[in-house]
Amino acid sequence: MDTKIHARMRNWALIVCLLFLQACASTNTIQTARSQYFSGQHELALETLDEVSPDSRNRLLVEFDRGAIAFSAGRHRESSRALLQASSTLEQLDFISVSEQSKALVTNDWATAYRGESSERLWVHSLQMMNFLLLNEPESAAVEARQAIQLLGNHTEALKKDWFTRALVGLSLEQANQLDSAQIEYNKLHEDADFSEGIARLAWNNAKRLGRRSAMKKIASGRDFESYDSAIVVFVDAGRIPTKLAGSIAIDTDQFIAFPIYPEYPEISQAINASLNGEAVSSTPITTNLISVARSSLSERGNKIALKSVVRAGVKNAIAKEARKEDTLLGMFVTAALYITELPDTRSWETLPGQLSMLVIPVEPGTHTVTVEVGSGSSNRVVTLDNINVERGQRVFRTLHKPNLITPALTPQTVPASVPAPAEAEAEVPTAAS
Amino acid sequence: MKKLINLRTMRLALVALLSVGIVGCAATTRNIDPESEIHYDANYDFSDKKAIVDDLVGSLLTTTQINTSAGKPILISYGIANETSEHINTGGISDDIRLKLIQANKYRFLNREQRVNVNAETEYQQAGYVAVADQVKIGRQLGADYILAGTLRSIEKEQPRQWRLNKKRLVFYSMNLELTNLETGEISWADNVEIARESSQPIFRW
Repeated sequence: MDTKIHARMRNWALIVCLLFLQACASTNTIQTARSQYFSGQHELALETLDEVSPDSRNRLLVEFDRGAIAFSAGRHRESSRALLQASSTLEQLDFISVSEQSKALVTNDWATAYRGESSERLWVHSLQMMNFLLLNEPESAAVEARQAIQLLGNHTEALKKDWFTRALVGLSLEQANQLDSAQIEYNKLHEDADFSEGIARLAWNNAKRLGRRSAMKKIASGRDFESYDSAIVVFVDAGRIPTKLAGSIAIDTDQFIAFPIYPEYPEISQAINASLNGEAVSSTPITTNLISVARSSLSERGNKIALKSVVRAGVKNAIAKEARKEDTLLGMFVTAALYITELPDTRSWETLPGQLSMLVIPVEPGTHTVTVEVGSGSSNRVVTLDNINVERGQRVFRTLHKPNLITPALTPQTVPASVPAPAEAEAEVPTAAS
Repeated sequence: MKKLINLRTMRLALVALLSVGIVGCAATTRNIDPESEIHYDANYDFSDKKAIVDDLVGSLLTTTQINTSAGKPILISYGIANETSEHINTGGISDDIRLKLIQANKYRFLNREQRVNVNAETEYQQAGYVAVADQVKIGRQLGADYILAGTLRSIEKEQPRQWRLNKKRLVFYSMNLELTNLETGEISWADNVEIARESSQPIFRW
């Protein structure tokens, strides 16, 4: 009888350890790819991500990372394909797996497939909208915008402060000539962020295009805005989103519950200034600090995480008690195994930037040069975008990726028509400070 | 004796279970009738495309609003705008509508997508490489009488969050098609097709 119980307990302990080790394999490969990306080796990072099994519980993270890395390399078609795959994976994972949850109850949440935070789901659409606008496919950008609207409606409070994505939603609808829908989004955004002049300008200009005088008056509220037909829109992503860390609360001397947290970092926004053909422009950038949205998104499901952690603690406690009853040594071993597997699920989309900004620069039809300065003081970076040809009524989109990182040269065949050659896009000019 | 029966029954049950498992896991491929209506979920699929095309082509072929007495009207397709929340290639709808109308021999179509190629080919012929007698004549292209264009829209609703075992989703598609008279700017004909569908997915799975 004793032997039988021992065998059963040993099996339990083995299963717990196996589940724990299983979770590590794909995570290490993803971390390697991320390190390669952060050191500027985009191509190598993408190759490393290919090594992760498609059946991995971290499949979604691989698709997220592939989308962000390809985006950063200016390979917008490849990025859009990866992110479409991520959207499809999110749809497939939209259920509760009883088998996964049972495993998670005796180990931790790493035993479950990663399903992404609501903020990360939204940023899939943000990157997609930018991809499609840069590829000159406004209709597809508008599809992503409508999907983003649905998500924003389901997580209103958590995602409310993503000013960048919300403005991008309006811009994408506007670009697809759905001016009414764009105005609805601009109005909601302006109500929540009436402090932003950049948002007010966007909302006012679209209201003007629709001929809505009362809306124009309300949005302007005494300010003097000038309407425009043609514009250069520059998307700037800067910095890195912080990673989730482990938080824990001790329940007993030999038991604790662990949960993921985003520590309170001071929110430092990189200043963005631009000049058009050598003259400073007054366009105010519309910016989102991704960490603040990620934090609200994580706290939104805080209660669920807490409840699950408490239930897991109860289950683990019961297993450890049973083991101790049968044999003290085995009990100690099982308790230790359960203790070390109590790890918070700190998985997240780490290849995202820390800040996303857009600059809408009204221009006259013709060829222009835009100079963008990101940051200030000695750490600033100045990037010049040359030969941007804008026709009447046209909006031309450009991106500046991770200005604080070295980005490799893009291969000509991957540069879409709307994106300038890398030498033009990424050319650095000496700054006054340097 | 009873133990023996139990053991035999259990063995049989195990074999049956394994067989079901093996058969259930086997990969299969089969041809399906394109005319049959099949939906795996609430999203737009080929059955919807077929229903939309059949309805609108039927309406265009039977309408009395377009004057066909002076000959077959010449149409130019400006495609179908996708205003849904799904990445749908609406080119498939406009191509099928055009194909069926051409086959019905009641309308003529100009090929807008091939205009650049037509021009390039004409220029090549005029450049002296082709014998004068064989060259296509410039200025003999047809002019369109009507613009054919449309919009596909969708409204989606998910069941509110509450304690439940299934998640329901309601999708409503509306496809609007119209013919605009190029001379007068008037919308000479318009029709639409509506599809509403509810799907249910289990919240808990193994």
